[in-house]
Amino acid sequence: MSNFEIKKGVIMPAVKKATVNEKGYYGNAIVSDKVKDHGNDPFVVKKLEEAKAFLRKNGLNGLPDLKK
Amino acid sequence: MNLERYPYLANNNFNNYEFYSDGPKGRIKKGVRFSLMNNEPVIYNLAFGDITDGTDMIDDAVVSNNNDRDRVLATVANTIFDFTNNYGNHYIFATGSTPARTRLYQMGITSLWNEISIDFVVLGFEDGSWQAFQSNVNYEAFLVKRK
Repeated sequence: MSNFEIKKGVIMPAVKKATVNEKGYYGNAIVSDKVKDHGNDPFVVKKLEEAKAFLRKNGLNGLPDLKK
Repeated sequence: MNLERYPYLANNNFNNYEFYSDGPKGRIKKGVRFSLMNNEPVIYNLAFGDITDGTDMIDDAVVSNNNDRDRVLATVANTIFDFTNNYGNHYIFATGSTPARTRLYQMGITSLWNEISIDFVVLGFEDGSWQAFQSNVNYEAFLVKRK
């Protein structure tokens, strides 16, 4: 059984929400209020600070089409 | 991109994603979090790792070795579709916590390059500049953007 298979008789909070942009790409995520916001997880915070530091140190030299 | 991937969940803001890796080590919960890291140009950081039991927090200290690297990477790549559908087509920054981990990411990108390159521009940072991804170069970090 898949991890997110709907069980008979069980109310599931997850809903499928396919989104499409101008190029016609669809997302496949199943929206669920059970997914926690990990924005304050120590690892996520540390990674974000390291990423910002990397960018400050190394810049964006060589990056194409910045305006797109 | 037509790669085998795991089904995955998103929160209502489409900046947090969770899925389960299935393999010899069992079911391992994985998490992806996109965080704004730069405004001009707009760049989001991608943090990815296992969601540890008990703490319910993302961490990448453990090497899972669940024999599904490509499927996990394909799932993470798919979350970029959902995220950018909702936040705009911006650059996504990714790097490993260690050089070895970054090398693992590079091996995964190389392994799936035929499919990834259809939908994504991938740049690697090496020798002081961002360059178009090549499989035989060791990069310090990656920037990914949808075509």
